[in-house]
Amino acid sequence: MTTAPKRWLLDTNVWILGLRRDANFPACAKLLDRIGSFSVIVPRQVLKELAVKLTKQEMRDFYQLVNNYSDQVEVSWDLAPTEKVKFYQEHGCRKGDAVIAAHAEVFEASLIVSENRQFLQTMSDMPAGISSPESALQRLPSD
Amino acid sequence: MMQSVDELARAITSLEPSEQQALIDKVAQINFQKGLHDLSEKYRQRLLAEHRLNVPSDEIWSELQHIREEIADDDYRA
Repeated sequence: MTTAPKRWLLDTNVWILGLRRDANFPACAKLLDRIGSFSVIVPRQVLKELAVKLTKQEMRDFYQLVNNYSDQVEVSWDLAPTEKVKFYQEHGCRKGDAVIAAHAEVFEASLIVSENRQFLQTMSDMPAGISSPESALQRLPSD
Repeated sequence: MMQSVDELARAITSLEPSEQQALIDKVAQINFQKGLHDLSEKYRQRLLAEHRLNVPSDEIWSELQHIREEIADDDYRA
């Protein structure tokens, strides 16, 4: 019997710090290396943030990669429902973080993975799960 | 020595369908990881050339937070 792969939303900081191979946040790169052992949703907010940080060519490379691996990486340009964004704002999230939480709920991501400490604290008692990259790695089977 | 493509194809088609699928999935994953590493290397090289590879973490966080709120404000106007 096979188990359905985990579907996680990786926050922009995980993508950026992982691509930078930032020595202060080694779990981010390690998590990117494990995509495939879990599936990923890349929502509009993350796509737009990545587009600011990466060049047009780098974004083209990114899209080509994810389009070639669409079984495990889903990209969506849909807006999150405003009422869900407001819900998370009313529960203490900053607007941008509320958008990420709303996207996660809509796409039924089982986990948001982020290095954003304020986001981690605010969402700790919310239905949508949230985790640091270090903790997320521990949820995966060992290589 | 690397097997020829024909030999590889024959070896693969001798596998059970579930094993073939697992192999196809693994190849896709490895290709993705290789592409992600290539993208990471390009990104790092660009940041290095722009003297921005070793900026303090606080600066990265501040910029990411600013970008996040700006995009959210634009997409979800009150």
